[in-house]
Amino acid sequence: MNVYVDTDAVIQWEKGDFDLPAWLEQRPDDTAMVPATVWRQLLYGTFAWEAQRAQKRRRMLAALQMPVASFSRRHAARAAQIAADLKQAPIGFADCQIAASAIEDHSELLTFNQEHFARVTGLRLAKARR
Amino acid sequence: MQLSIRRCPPEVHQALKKRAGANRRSLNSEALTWLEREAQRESPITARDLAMNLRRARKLMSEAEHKAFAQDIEQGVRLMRRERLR
Repeated sequence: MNVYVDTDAVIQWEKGDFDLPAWLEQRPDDTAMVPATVWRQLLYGTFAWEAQRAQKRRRMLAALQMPVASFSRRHAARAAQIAADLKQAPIGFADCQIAASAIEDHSELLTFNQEHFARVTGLRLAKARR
Repeated sequence: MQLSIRRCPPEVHQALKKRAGANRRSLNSEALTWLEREAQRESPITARDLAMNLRRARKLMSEAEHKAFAQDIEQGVRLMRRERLR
């Protein structure tokens, strides 16, 4: 099984509230990636600040060697469908894209944002506790 | 390096020809572009390897810096939520 790691799982790890490496080690032979949209969110903090701080963060993210899954036509179509399905209570542009990536690539999503992602039909959520 | 492809399905050949024409490239250049793009596509790593990378990367910044980074990522997420297509 492939796991897509959501931004909030990385945020919780950065804060020290979630042991992401330990969680991954419980399923060592699974594979892992981040969707392109998550990568964009992670990179924000490397562009928004002064050079020295940004450079340190870029080095840290590079050290993760986290593979990034591409976003293509079929992902876009699925994201559009999710947005339409949830138009009464939208989950936002980014979360539609993240959910679409996981569904189309037959991956589980590791996230703590149950409020948004549990409402997406066909999306498999990985179990994790903080 | 020379590389030849056998039994190329006609629909793939047609698609390649069409794209080569649209991009004003030879069939060979177009095929190379396709192969290069595929070769650059990222593939997943094992959870075990990612866990190892995470532990290694953790040491590159102090705990305070990691927490500050988390806040900036959250800010990026919030900004993205407010983005509108115009």
